[in-house]
Amino acid sequence: MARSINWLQVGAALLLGLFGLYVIVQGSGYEMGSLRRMGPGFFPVMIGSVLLLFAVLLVLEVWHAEKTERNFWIPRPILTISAGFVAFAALLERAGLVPATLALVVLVSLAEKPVRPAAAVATAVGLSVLGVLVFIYGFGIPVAAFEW
Amino acid sequence: MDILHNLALGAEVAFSWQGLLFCFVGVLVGTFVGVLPGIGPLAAISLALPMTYYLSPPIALIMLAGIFYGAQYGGSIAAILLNLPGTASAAVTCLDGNQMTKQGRAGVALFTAAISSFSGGIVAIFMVLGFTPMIASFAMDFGAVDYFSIMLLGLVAASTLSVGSPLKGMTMVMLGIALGLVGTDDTSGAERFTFGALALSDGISLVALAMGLFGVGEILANLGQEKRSPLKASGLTFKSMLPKRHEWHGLWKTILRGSGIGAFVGALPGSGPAIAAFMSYAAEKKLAKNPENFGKGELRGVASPESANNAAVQAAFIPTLSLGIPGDAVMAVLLGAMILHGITPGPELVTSNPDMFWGLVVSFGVGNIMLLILNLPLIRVWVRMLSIPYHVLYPAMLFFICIGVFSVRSSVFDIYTALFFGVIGYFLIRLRFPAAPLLLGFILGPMMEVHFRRALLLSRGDYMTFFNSVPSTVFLILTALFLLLPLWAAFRKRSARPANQGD
Repeated sequence: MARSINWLQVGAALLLGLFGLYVIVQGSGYEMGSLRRMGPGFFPVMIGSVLLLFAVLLVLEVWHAEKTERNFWIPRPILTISAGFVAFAALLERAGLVPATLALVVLVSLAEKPVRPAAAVATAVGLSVLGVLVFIYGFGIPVAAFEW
Repeated sequence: MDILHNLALGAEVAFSWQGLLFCFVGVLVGTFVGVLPGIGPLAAISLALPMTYYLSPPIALIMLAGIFYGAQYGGSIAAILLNLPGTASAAVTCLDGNQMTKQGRAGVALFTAAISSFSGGIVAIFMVLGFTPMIASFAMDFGAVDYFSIMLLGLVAASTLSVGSPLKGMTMVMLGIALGLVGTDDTSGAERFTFGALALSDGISLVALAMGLFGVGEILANLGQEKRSPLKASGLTFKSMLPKRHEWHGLWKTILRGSGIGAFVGALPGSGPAIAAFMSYAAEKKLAKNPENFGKGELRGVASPESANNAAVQAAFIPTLSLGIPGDAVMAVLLGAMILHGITPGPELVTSNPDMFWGLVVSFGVGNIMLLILNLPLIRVWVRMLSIPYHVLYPAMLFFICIGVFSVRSSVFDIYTALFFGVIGYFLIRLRFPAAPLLLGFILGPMMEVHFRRALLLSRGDYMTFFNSVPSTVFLILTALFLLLPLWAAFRKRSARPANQGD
């Protein structure tokens, strides 16, 4: 019985190969130098080449690999967590730690069904208080609780 | 008596109020993250790293190390009660530990796990004491070639010994080294792979990379899973934890064997506590008179891996402290922590920072005793911890990741970096690419490049220089063996089943 091609694994290996190729191309843009006195480009080209080689071997290894990847694409957690991180990063220095924390926790709480609004808000408030006490007063990180 | 003098110096550090306090914080946090499935010691150490900036380097290291071995104690709790390994190294403990829970003997299993971990730790501490200064003095005349070769050996060993495909492991190492290239080149000062971004001229943040791969990635993988089973905390009394006399019989031999195997395997570069636990379990099963009992609730099946994984964790400090070469990803992060604290790891560490080395070793002893106390009478507190709902836990973890990553160098950019590697880490988990070798490559890569370029500069471009030194030659031969081993195994497998498939 011929097994079908495992495109997910092959795709991942191909992406790694492409990345290796990119490292070679970009690395060769830096000065190569000589073996005796290597420039900054020598090692990247070497590493990129080995990565490319391994990726090619990997394509052969995983070509017929058993398909055990289930629930591979999970848009809901990935999108909500990304949104939470972006919101936190954007708000932290503009609006302060408390708004950033509230936005982060509320957004990432949407990742799982069923959404529990009360628990999410309670967690967000609790973590904001903890964050201000521990990180602003305790460690003195250079961020305000609220930026006016 | 030189060693007594040194131990006294170590005790001074470890028994100072700061030493005791932060050792306690470390083992407490370690047990906590060990108990909770889904966060391992690696994520916890990366998270705690920025907070140790305010401590002196020896105290910081005492705390971070405490997280690492504390997690080995905690990891067994979730493994025994829930059949979920709290840390990867407790996976083997699930086999017999959870069977014992199903037979109503959870208390005995937990007690044995704590005692075995403790014994493993103590045995390995003596190994660290004995071998680290010895190896360090041997490595004192290592040159650039030797360092390059031993790092290569560590990377190859780490990727081929890990569970799963060796080729995937090695590809991940190369990816890690490639990511380590980003930033300013140490030798020439040239900016590489920075896309002109100022935030990247210092390189990718180690904490952001580790938190992304092991924190965010792990959370995403957990969220994408089917429902998790809830825990029912049964009545655990201290009395129910004590094993009966016939169960104890001969158990100490198992524990000693496990400790020995664990300490030996843990000291090898590239192998971690998970491999040590697995090997110890396999050896114990081979030696047993009744191997068929293993996997069905055999007490020795708990004692053996638990003594081995804690011994391995402690012994893993030998190569890190004597050579500056981390054995696995967690040690790599600890090594990164030392570098961030301005300490150069290497053979000079024992002599140039004696307070650090001896203080750390003495604190291992202190920490293991603390853990025994935390794990025996207070076990019920930890068991209750398992019932924290995940919908409270993961937002809190993500919050700590965000703020922790930011606070390392007050960089908002690093939060995006953590997110980016979190998504990558998720896909790596699903595609069964091991992320630990990536991190190891990321940390060792820049050091390897420096030694590689220095070696060839000294030899005027002659590659044979790597075979002109005895240690380097030995390391390279071992590297070649590690590379050939999986090839040979694959070849054996293929010839063992001659054409039973028509392709």
